[in-house]
Order: sequence, then structure tokens, then C-alpha cells
Amino acid sequence: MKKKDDKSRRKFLRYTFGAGLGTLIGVPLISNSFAQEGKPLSGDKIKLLTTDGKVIEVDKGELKNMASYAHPAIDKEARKGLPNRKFVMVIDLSRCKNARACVESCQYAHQLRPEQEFMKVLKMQDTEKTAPYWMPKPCFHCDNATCVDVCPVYATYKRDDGLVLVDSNRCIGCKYCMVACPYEARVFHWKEPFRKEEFEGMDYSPETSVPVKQGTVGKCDFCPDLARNDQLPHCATACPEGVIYFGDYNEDTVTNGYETHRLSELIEKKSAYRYLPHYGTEPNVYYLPPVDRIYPFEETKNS
Amino acid sequence: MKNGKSFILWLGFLGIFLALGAFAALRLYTQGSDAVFHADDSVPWTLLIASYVFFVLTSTGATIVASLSMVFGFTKFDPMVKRAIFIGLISLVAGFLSMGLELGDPLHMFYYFLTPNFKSPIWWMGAFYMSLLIILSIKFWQIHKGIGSVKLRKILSITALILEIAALTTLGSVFGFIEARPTYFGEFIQVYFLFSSIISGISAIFFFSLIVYKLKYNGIPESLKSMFESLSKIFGAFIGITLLFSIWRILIGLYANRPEFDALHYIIDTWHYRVEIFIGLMVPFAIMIIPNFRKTFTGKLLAAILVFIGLGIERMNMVMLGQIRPIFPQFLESKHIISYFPTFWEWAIAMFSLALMIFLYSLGEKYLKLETHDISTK
Repeated sequence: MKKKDDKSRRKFLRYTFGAGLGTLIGVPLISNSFAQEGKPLSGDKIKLLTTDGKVIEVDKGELKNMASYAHPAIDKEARKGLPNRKFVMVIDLSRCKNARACVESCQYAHQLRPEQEFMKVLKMQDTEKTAPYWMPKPCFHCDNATCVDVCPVYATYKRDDGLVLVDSNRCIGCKYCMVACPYEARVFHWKEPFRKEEFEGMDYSPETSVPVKQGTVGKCDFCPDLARNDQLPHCATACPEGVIYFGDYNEDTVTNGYETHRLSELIEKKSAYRYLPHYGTEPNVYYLPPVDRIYPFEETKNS
Repeated sequence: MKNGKSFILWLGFLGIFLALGAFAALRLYTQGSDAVFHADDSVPWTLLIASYVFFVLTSTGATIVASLSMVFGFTKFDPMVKRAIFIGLISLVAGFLSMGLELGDPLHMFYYFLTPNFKSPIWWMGAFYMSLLIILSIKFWQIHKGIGSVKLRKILSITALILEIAALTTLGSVFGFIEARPTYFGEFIQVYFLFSSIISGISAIFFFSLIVYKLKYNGIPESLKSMFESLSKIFGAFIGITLLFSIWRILIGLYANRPEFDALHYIIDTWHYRVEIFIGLMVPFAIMIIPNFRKTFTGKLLAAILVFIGLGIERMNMVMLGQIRPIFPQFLESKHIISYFPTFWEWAIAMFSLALMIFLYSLGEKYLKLETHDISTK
């Protein structure tokens, strides 16, 4: 059931500028007066919506990624989670066309190197006779998370709000969680952190997973610092097709920024499913099957 | 090794590998993990985990064999007890070295004590092996100094045996608990670890003691021949059991239709898997069951060396078997096998552990009278 503009149930839509732009242009980009120094103009124009409602055209080369961090909790507070919340994600496979905006915005916000992806977009095919489809794959934040069970020092932990986070200040880098996760959702920081100077002086928080610490494990965190401020995760904001819905299981509501649904109705009416349920991990990511697709499957330049 | 000069030269030779390993460790801490490791998220556990498994299972195997005398009262094996415990100790130290260098951030290890997760098999494995290190050190010191009551030694020996079994089966559970990776073979791997640990331990005992006897007495002393003959028979029997497990592991893998077993189909076609089975198990098994070979000095030493090398390769094959095929089904790339071969620096660190073990053994043989026959446990 669509409930467009239902403000009372759409706390997540209060994330202002970034969400609107992200929906329009695909990645959380902010054109600025403020173009990146030394970056050449590409010749490709892109339309943007300004804060005062005007549509302007700018060169792609003038765009600058702006990851925002919304006062994340640190230390003990970051281990508790938000009270009375249980975060959940719904991914509509019929809409994904591998634009990879989710991947790139996530990489930018989480200080990842180009080869590192917390959010992956996989090319899937259920049988040889069925059409392939694109599948965005974040961490599933399982209720019975194997990674939490195997971590010898509780660097990986489950919060009251359902999120599974990694505390890099505690991680010993044994990589057991990476081997144990049935969804291969984890990434090891083998190399020196990317864009190190940009994050210097910033307090580390498991809610933002930055600044990255070499020799430790990282993964998709559902951007709890943004959720703490009623904002959507970077990937959901960035997706130009509205593939990714984020919400609260307890409120039975998910939104992708411009559509809001009851979670229970989506699950029932669109036959939502969770991945590899036989492992008993109880993931908190639901998939809407790749049926009635908006776009036919296409190999993209990103694939 | 009577000659002091050749002993120094020998230590110098080992020093080359120690220096190379130390340099690799320095690289790791100054330049980061990618300067040493294969650095691929699909294969997060590298040769160093295999090296750790190899050394700690050699340790538990050697000390389980020592318990034949100290727990079960087979006095015939008294002469090798002190050496076996020492091999158990230094092998454990070598294993800890490999594990320490595998960890991405060992400086956070104090959280192992501050915030323990009792549900984690790795936590228990660490606890058992660390306790074992302490118990074995006390046991070795008691034998070396000839101190402690018989009763206390017996209690320590039984405690050590329980810890040894607990440690190696918990190590098996570290792999076996991973439901998503069936090529680690669940509970099967724990029993397999028990048997392969014993042959790993005996091969180390044979390797070190036979070389020492050759250098000192130009062969096995007459008084010890009967003990070595019995130990050879035990060695042969357990090589046979390990081989049987390996064959069944292959058959289960080939019989299964699960796509995850593609990794097994792939690995049995590799040269390293053939070395593991044919050179590491079948040939030594043949040597040990044919009396004319088994009774010779060369036969025993050759079997020990082949098992030692074969198990080294087996540990790498085992660790890789669970990782080289992506586990996410329907993902088109998951049908591919990930190629992994250890980097030069990974080899350097594995050799660092081996060189450290041999270095410590050489010092122990020279200064700690490992040939003590009277262990006064009765």
C-alpha cells in the first residue's frame, strides 16, 4: 500500500537536501560553487535540483561527493542501539539496473578503496532458463548472526535495534567472521586507508565505520548515525531507481525516499523473501523478486 | 653437533630463515597486510592459518604420544617422553608465531581477556592451547629438574592429555562449525584432526630424534630399537587411519551433488593434493607396513619426512578447500574457483615458524638433555 506524502509515517524523509538530490541524480553528490579543484570538466551535463527549487545544469566534473556524518554515538552508546527500533531493509530486485550509485555512495561515505565494497551488486541467475538479474547485497544484519557468535572478542556485536556492527577499536583481525558469514558480506582492510587525510582527527565510531583502521574487518553498517537522525542510509539515498527501502520492523514501515510502504504488506503481496533462510540466521534484509521488471536485464558498463 | 663450530654454522643457517621471516614480519607491520598477504577478501585465511594448524596439531600429537608413558603407563616409551614434550612446546610456540602474524591487529589481543566471547570456538581454542603451553612448560621443567611428586606429575599429565584432546578438537570445530562451508566437513574434521595430529606428532619425534641419533651414535641405539619399532607400528596404523579418512573425504565430496563441492573436484586434480595423498600418506604407509622397510633407519626417517611434508601441504589444502569457491549461490561468479597461491612473504613467515622450531630444538638438544630416560612417573 503506497502512502505517498504520509508525513506522519515518514520520519525518514526528513533528511532534506541529500535525499532529494540523491533521488534525482543517483549519487549523493552536491554540485558546488565548490567544484573539485583540478578536476577537468567532462562535457557531460547533469540536472540538479537546488534548495530553492530551481533545476540547474552542471558539468559532471564539477560534482563533489559529500558524505555526511550525523553525530554518531561512540563507545558504550554505540553498542546499545536506538531504543524500540528494529531496522530492516527491503530491496526491490525488479528495479535494479546496476547503476552502482549505492556502491559508490557507500564507498565514499565509508572511506573504502575502489576495490572494496560493503554493498555489492551481483549478477544473479536462478536457473539456466531464467533471465539474470542484478542483486544489491549489503550485510543482512542477521538476528542469529554467525559473525557475532564466532568473534572471540565481541568486536562484532548485535544491538538492541537489530544492527550488527563492528568495533574496529577492538577487532584483532582474525578474519573468522569473514569465513563464517554465509553471505560473504565482510571486507578486510588489507591496505592503508583511502583518503586518510580527510578523516584525520575524526573520532572513530562503529556507527560510521570511519576512520578506517588497517588490519581490521569492516562491513555494511546500515548507517546508524543517519538513522539516529531519521535519515536513510547512503545507499538508499543514492539509488536513482528507488531500489532500496529502509525502515523499522516495529513500525512496520519502509521507505525508499519517495514511496512508503507497510513492510508486512510488501512481504505478503510481493512475496518478499530472505536469502538462504535454511541457515537459520534470520536476516533483516528482504528481497522483492525480480518479476514485472521496469527494465529488461542489460549488461551495463559497470558489470 | 659435538663440534661447536658446526653447531654455530647450523644455527647461522637457520638464522637466514629467521632473519627473512623477521623481515617479512617487519614488512607486515610497517607496510601493512597487503605487503605480505595474498590480500583477497574471498580467501581471508592464508598459508599462515594452515601453518598455525600444522604446528599446533604437531604439538598436540607429540604430547599425546608422550602420554602413552605418563598417563597410560607404557614404560617402554619413557626414553622419548622428555623429547616429545619439548617438541610439543616448541611446536606450539611456532604455531603461535604464525597465528600472531596472521592477525591483522595483534595489539588488540588484550581484549581476548577483557571481553571474552565464550560462544566463539576460536576463543576456546586459544584458551586450551594457552593452558596447554603453561601445563607443558611445568611438566617439562619438572622432568628436567627431576622435581615434583609422582602424584602431581600424574595429575599434570592427565590434565595435559585432556587439554590436548580439547584443544585439537576445538580447533577442528573452528572449521567444522562453519555451516556455510561444507567442504570443511563439519564434525568429521575434528576426528580427522585427532588422527592426523598423532601422525604429525610422531613424524616430528622421529625426524628430530633420528637425526640426533645418527649424528651422535650413527644410528638408533640398541636399547631404543624396540621402542622405535613399537612407535613405528603405531605410526603406520595411524597413517592408515588418516589415509582412510582422506579417501572417504574425497568419496563423500565426489558423491555429493552440492555445488560447494566443486572446490573438492578442483583440488583433487592439483599436484599439491596428489603430493598430500600419494607422497604424504600412501608411500609412508607402505614403508611402515612392510617390515623390511619399517625396521631400517632410512625407512623410518623417510616416512617421517614424507608425512611431515605431506601434512604441511594437507593443512594448506584443507584451509583452502573451504574458501576457493565463493559460497553465495546463484551468483554467476560463484561457479568459478578462486586461484590462491601463497605469496613469497607468506612462505617466508611459514618458514620463519619452522626455522624457529628447529632453532629451539637445536638449542634444547644441546643444553636441555632431551635424552633423559628416567622420567620417574611410576
